[in-house]
Amino acid sequence: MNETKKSPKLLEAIGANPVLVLLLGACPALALTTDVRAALAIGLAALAVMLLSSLVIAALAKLLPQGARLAACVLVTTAFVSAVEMLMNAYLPNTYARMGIYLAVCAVNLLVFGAAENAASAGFGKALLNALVTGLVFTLVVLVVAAVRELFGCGSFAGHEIAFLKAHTVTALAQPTGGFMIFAFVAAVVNKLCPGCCCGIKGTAFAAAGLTDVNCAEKEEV
Amino acid sequence: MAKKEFSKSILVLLALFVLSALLLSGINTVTAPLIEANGASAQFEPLFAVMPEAQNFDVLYSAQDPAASALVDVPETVTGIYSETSGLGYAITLSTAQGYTKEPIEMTLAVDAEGKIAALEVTAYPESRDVGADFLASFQGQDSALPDVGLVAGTTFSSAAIKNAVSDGFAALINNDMVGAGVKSDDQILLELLPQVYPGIANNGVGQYEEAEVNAGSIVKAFKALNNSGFGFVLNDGSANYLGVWTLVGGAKIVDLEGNAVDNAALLEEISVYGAANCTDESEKEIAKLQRMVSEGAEITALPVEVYNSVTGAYSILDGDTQLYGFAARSYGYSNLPMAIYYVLDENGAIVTMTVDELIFYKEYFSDYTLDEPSYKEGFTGLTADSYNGEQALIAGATMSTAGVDTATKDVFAAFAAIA
Repeated sequence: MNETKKSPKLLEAIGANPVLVLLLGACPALALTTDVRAALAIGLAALAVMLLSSLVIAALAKLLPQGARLAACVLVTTAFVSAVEMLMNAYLPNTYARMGIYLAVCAVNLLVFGAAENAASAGFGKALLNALVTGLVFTLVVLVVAAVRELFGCGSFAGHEIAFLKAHTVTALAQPTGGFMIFAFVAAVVNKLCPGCCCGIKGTAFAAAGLTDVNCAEKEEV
Repeated sequence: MAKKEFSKSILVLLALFVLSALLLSGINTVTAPLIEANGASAQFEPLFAVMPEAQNFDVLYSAQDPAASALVDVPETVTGIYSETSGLGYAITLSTAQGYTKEPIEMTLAVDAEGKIAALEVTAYPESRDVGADFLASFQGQDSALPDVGLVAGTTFSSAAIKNAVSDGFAALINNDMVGAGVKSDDQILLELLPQVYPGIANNGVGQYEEAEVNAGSIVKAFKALNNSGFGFVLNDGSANYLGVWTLVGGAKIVDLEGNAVDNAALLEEISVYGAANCTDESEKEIAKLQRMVSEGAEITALPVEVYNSVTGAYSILDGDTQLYGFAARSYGYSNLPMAIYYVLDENGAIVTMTVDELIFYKEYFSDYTLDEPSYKEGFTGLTADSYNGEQALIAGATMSTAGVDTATKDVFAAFAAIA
């Protein structure tokens, strides 16, 4: 471990996040990151769903037979996504309209699903912490990508036009291509800053599902 | 063991399912009314676009549920009527009737409390040719009489559809005593009468004419039919305003503001002189065309007929001992372009032959239909006013053009009846 780094724990958490390592949850991350407000909303919605479903699954962990875990996770995450969807539609109609279908897509988001699955094997506290960290990092990542894309692709920030940037927009950034590029760029930067952090997710449900990073597996052998 | 685990799984999942269902139905009970209210306020969004200072709106009428409204006599074009809650006026959503255009034109109209147009915004315009911002701006500040709104040449159907829809919006307000009606000028009333008095100057009730120059005298305004069939006039003899109509084929009449015929020899003389001097006389061309349709040496002489339709020329044809009648008509086809159509009728009024200078059938509209022109024309042979029912002329998919042929055919039979 490199002890000289200021906050290696935080960086490690970011580096080991499935958003950046396994590119889970990339669909809403790319679709909604041309507007900082939508990105923040989807991030927080995902965080809420992850926390709630991890809580329920962790609480039920002992009661759940191995064969029912997957089905239970699907059931619980979908229920919470539906709940969040209804609540947002009722109380935050503008934000809801901005998010469109991607809030519902959250239900089939592997990131959320993974957190819930993870909670079944980890302890109660660990599961919550994991969900919290994963959700916060996801929010942070989509916010960073959205900020870059909105500023330079659309020439605005949180919907407010910035005259100078508006005159010099890079259209490609606002398109899916630009989304992939910025997303990959963020992943690369984090990977560079924290090499090997990706192995932090080793042994979790992702690994169990065969989603381990190939490089990590090789490192283990060395 | 496995069996026990299986039933345990079923039980746990069932319990989870029931709990989720309870949670979701609970949330739904709380949120459903809020979501519905959000949807309702989104419905007002286009209204704020035409009334930016509005506080809120009350729904007075919705075409989806007309029975729920207290308003009566609301034209079909009106899809919604909303009153602004602080008394600024009314917002009306309009959708033009099918028939003018393939898809309806949709717009939002704001009428202030004095009955003047505060704004008009087109929200859906499926036509390819734009009516132009000037046309829409001309509605600003007008009352229900719309005195300063003219139609736009080239998009007469669309601009007429918009103007009629706005009139319908006003009609709904006026019928329910919500605003007072604007007073139409005599000119407006007379021009609205013109297509009824002189159908040959209009296509589907929309006038097809351009304003012509006038000198002095009783003629205030002159309108030349785009198919050169004649003129419409706004006349003033010093005491009252009249509508005058003169047709190339031999019609001339004067009507008053109510559309009743007026006997005024001086005015008739004046419009006849103007018409003869300013018309585009194509009788030579028409005679030449008819000559080719009958035997060589047949004698063709002009035969004045008093009709006000698309017929531009009527002729007596003496082919040896046989008395025939020739007619030229210029009805409006596709895109309102006049088509010159010629007919030769026998003395009993049956079509001997007909031909068309140019059938304005736009070929790109026929993906799987090829017009067989000779047999189309032959289909008219032998038809009389009694046996002709429109089916012989109309082709589905070329409705605009063949409706023009249909109009000309009917007009020619009418002209024949006027001779006899």
